[in-house]
Amino acid sequence: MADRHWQCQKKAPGLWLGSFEAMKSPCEIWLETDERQARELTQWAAEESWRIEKKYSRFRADSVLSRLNRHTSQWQTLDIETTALLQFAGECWTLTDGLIDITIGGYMQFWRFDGHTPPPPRKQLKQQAAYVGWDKLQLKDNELFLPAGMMLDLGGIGKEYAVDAIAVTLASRLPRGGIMVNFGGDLCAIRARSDQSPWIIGVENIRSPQSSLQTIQLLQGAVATSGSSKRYAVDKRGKVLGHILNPKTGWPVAHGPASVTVVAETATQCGMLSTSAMLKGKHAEAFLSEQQVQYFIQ
Amino acid sequence: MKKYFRKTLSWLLMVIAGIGIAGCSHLQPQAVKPWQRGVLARADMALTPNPVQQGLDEHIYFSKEAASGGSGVGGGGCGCN
Amino acid sequence: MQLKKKLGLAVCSLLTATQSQAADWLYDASVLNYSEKDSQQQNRVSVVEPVLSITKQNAVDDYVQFQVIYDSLTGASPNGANASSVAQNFNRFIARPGFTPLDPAFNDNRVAFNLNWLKPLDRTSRYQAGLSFSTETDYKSVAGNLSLLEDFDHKRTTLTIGGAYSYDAVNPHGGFHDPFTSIYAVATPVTPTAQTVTSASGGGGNQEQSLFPGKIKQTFEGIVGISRVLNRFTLLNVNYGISYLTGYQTDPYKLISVIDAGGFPVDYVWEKRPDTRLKQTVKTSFITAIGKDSLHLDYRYYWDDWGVSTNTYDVKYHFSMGSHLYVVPHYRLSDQSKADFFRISLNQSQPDPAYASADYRLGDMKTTTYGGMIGYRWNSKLEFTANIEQITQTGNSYPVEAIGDQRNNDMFPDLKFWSLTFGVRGKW
Repeated sequence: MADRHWQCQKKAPGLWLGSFEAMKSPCEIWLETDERQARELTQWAAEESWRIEKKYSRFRADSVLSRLNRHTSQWQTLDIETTALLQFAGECWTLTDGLIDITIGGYMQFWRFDGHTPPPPRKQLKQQAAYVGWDKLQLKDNELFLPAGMMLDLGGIGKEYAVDAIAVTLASRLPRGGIMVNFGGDLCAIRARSDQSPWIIGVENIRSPQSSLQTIQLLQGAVATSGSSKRYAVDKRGKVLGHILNPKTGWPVAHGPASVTVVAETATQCGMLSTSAMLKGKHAEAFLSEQQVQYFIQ
Repeated sequence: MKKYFRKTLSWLLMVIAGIGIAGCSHLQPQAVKPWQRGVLARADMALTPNPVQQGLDEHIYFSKEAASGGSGVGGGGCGCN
Repeated sequence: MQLKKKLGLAVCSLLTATQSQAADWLYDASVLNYSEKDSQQQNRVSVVEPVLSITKQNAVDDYVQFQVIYDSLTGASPNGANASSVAQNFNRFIARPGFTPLDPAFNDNRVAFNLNWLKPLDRTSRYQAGLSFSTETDYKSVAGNLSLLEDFDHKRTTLTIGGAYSYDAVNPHGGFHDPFTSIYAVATPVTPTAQTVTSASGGGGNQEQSLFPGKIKQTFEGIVGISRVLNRFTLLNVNYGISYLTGYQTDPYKLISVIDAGGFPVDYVWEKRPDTRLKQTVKTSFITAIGKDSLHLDYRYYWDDWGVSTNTYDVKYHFSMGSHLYVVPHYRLSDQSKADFFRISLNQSQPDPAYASADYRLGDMKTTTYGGMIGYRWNSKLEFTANIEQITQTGNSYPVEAIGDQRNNDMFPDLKFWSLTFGVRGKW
C-alpha cells in the first residue's frame, strides 16, 4: 500500500486544518474543534477520500469502475454507493440534456491532458461516438448493463461527491463548530464558523495560477470550478484546448470560457453547473445568469 | 477566447441555516436528517439518552413500586414484583 | 433556478443513499450494584446486575439489537407480616421483636434476553419489534412487542402506536397455597405437575396445559404516543398506555398477619390478589436545550383498577462541561396511593375479605430519589458513565387501622436504597 500521509495543524485557537493528497488534489479539512477530534476526523476523511479514489479511479485496474468497464455485455450487480452514483449521473444527464454524460470514458481514453500529447484523429472519435451516450446503457435499480465498447468515467462527479459526502458525515459527527472540506478548489463549507466569520477562498487565476484572481468570502455553502490551468490538451498547432470533452463530439469545448466557478449549496451542484456552463461554450454566461447562482467566468 | 475579468470582489454570502445547514435543508424540507436538526440531534436531547441506564432504573422502580410503565411497551416480565 | 433546484434534489438523494452504508457496531455494557437498608438497620435486598447490549446499526432508523441481562438477587425481603412486640416464628426463620419480619431466603438468579429491531418502511414511517425471554428459578416470561412510528409535518411530529403481549409463569419454591389458609396448615400444598394447573390453588391460571410449570399470567399492552418538535431547542412527548393483565397475580410468598383484639399476631395466612388488573398511564416528557445544557422533565400519572394511583415527577439537568465531560443531577418523586385491598393485617374476628395483601409495595408510599450521572467521552467511539442514586421510600408507620400492640411498632419502616451503576459504551 502506497505511503499516504495526512497531517493536522493548528491554524488558530480552536481551528484546525487537516491536509492530505487525494484525487490528484491537495485536500483540506477545516474544523473548529479540539486537537484530538481534529486528528481523528482528519484521519477518517483522508481514509474515506482514498477509499473513494481507489474505488472509482479509471487509472487503477483494481477499481470498481475499471471492473465495471471490463465486464461489458452482461448484467452487473452494483453496491449501494455505486448504484446511487450512477442513478445520480443519469439524473444529471437528463437534467442537462446530455451535456453531463459519464459514458465519455469512451472518448477520454484517447486523450492525454498533459499539455503536449497530440489529440486523437477526428475519425477515431467519430467511430467511438457509437459507444458513447448514456441512453445506450441500461440501469435498472442496482443492475447495470454496459454494452461492449462503452466506458464509464466518474472523473467529473467523483471529487465533488467525495467533498459533499465527507462534509455531511463530518457535520453529523461534529455537532458544533465550523466545518469546511476543500479538495483543490471544489469545496463545501457545510457549517459556518462559530463567530460567524467567513471562510475565505481564493479563486485561481487561470492566466497566472500563482496569484488568486479574487477571493470569495463564504459563511456557508459550496464552490466548484470547471476548467483548469493544469490539465489541458493542445491541438496540432499547439493551441490550448480545455479538458472538458463535449459528449456529442468527443472534442474539448470550443469558444467557451477558460474556467467557470459556481457557488451553490453543495459541491456536486456547483460542479454540475460549472461543467454544464463550460459545455455551453459561448453561451456559458447566458446559461449561468439564468441559474440564479453566484458565478465567476474567466 | 474572450476573457471575462472581474475586479477583486468579496461579498458575504448569507446562506441562512434555519433549522439546519446548507445542502438538503433548502431543497427537501421534508427530509429533516439528523445532521440538519442541529441542537435536537445532540445526544443529550434524545428522549432516552441512555437506554441501558433507563432500563435498569425502570427495573428498580418496577420491583419497588406498584406503578410501572409509561415509556414504551414490551420488554418482558420478571418475578420481582 | 429550476435546474439548480432539481440538481439539488438529485444530490440529496445521492448523499442520503450513500450515507446509509456502513453499519456501525455499538455496544453498551453496564453493571448495576444495588442494596437496600431499612430504618431498623436491617439489610434487605442486594442486586448485582450486569447488562450487555450489542447493536448493529445501519442507520439511525435501521438497527438490530441484542441484549443480555443477568440479575443476581440476595438478601432478605419482607414476607408481609408486620412488626410485633413478640418474636414471630415463620418456620424457616424467626423475626425479632419489634422488627419487620424479613424472609432471608430471597436469593435468585435471573437471565433475560431481549432482541429488538427498528426498520424503515418508507420515507416517513418505520416499525420496531422485539422479543424477550426471561428465566429465573421460580419465574419465566416470554414476550413480544410491535410498534409503528409515523412522521408528519416535515418530521416535526411523530406518532407511535404499539402493542405487546407477555406470557409469564410463576412456579414458586414450596408450591402454591390456598389463599387465606394458615401458613402452618399441614395440608399438602398444591405443587402443580409440569402441565396442569387448577384454579383451586389461589385463583388465576387455567385448566389447559401451560407452556411452563406453574400458574400463568398474560399481559396485553398498548401505547399511543405523540412526539412534537416545538422549536429548534425543544421537544415534547406525550404517551398514553394501557395494560390488561389476566391470570395469577398473587404473590405466592407473601402472607398477612392475623391479629387479635390486642393487636398481637395469632396466625398468618396467605394473601390473595385479583386475577385481572387494568393499568393505565399518561406520561409527558419535555426536553429543552439551554445553551450547551439541557433540561428533561417527566410527569407520569398512573392508575389501575386495584385502586392504586401514582403521580411521578422526574427532573434531570444535563450540564455539558466541555467536549468530554457531562454531569446530570437527577431528582424523582413518586407519590403512590394504596390498592383497595391493601391492609397491614387481618382481624381474627372478621371474615376474610375477597382480596387482601400486606405487601408494602401496594400501600400508601412516597419514593424520593436523589442522584446524578457523570459521563466522560473519551472520543467519538468510547464513553464511560457512572450513575449513583439514593432512593428513600416512606410510608405510613402508624396508620389509623393499627390497633393495640401494632401502635407500638413501626408498620412501615423507611427504606433506603443505594444504586451505583458503571457503564461503558461505544462503537467499534
